[in-house]
Amino acid sequence: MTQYVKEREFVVPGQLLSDEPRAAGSHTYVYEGKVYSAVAGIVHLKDSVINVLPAKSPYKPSESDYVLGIITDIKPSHYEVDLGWHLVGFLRTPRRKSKLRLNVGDVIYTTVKYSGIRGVFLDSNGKLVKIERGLLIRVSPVKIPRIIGKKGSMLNLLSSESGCKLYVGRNGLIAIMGDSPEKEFAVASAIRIIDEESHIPGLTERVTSHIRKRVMRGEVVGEE
Amino acid sequence: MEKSEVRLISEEGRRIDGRALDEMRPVKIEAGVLDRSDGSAYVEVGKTKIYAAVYGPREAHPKHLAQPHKAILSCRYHMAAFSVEQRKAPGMTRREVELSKVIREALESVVLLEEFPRSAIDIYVEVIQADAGTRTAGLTAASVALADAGIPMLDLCAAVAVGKVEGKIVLDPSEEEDKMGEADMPIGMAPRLGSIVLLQLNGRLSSEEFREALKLARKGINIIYELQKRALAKKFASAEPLVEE
Repeated sequence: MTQYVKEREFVVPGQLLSDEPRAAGSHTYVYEGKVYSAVAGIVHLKDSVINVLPAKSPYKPSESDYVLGIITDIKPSHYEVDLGWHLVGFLRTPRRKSKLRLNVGDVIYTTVKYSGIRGVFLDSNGKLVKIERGLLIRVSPVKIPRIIGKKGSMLNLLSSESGCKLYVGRNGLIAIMGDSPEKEFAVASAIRIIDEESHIPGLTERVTSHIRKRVMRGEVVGEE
Repeated sequence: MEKSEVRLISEEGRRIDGRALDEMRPVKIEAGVLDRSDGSAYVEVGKTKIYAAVYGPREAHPKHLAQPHKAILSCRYHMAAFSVEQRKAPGMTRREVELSKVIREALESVVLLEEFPRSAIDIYVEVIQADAGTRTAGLTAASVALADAGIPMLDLCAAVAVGKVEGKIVLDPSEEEDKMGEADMPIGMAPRLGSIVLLQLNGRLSSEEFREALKLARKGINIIYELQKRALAKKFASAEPLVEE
């Protein structure tokens, strides 16, 4: 097996990565038994699989992804859900005994049950949550891993520092629920910092101090 | 055709702008120049200046055009009213409709449209200043803009024109050479795949001349391809992606 690229090397679409078709990872394609990059990005090797990580990429739903969506239409057997970007998801109407009532404009948090040629189908059972209040923001889907952090570290930090509950969708939508708008805005601006400065070291410290500052200021304003 | 009084190639084999026969005009490529679009690029070839912007994948409009198994690609090549010496009416001319089509068809052969079913990818190629070779520079720009948008492709596309001037095959003809020369042949290629994605010919070439022209075009395309890669790498250095999870 010949590998033509190193870890963290920059590649462009069509660049030869490997002679071993089994090494084809994300954002690659196999042509005549060889692996090529499909996007401009940085090589990331994991378990002898070659992945290419682009700076920007449209969201492609895959099964068991957590997503946030907005109900746009109600049909006899299903809801249509706007997942942002170009995607429309279908949600089977939950059974009659379910207490959940959904309306156009409601925001839901659920998983993807099936994504393929027939469309995107969302799970209408156990995992479905209706977001009742809070702040809904949108970031680039490639930034979601950074917002979650290693084993959820960044997400834990965001919620523990601010006291807000967060729902993060793979499609780039994030719902923030806190007990005051100041706390919600503090988290939203912290997420903007992660979005824009994720490549500059010392991110965790900056995010922590930013939220503390904003939350404290919010409490002072609230007391006045 | 009667022989023109003006000499386009000097005794020493230099062209009117001082270039050698196999020399291109200076090329400049930049990626990610427009904030509002999903991907963009700027290309300068001599005095030709072109912006390309990519939107999508997004919902196809009108909806019945959407394909259940793949995305639809649309392309608009347009010249600004101030891009040429005599003000051009801002509407789409017959020529612009044709060039939109050839650029779209060239890109359709490299973009992995099956990745985004039921959606549309829109490409806008805007000529700010025209000075020969706008369709080739337009394809070069559109390809960089698509890569900047993170849309998966088999390969980048690079394009250049070759011409026949006073019986000699020249690379990247200028406006004057294009107007007074015997032939003009824009060629677009996917360099890694080695396939030709765009080829048009205005005028006549013998089969030997055609082969020579193709060889010359390949040389120019490789130069442009390197510049495309460099432009994307430069854009990338400022937007480092994420490895952790």
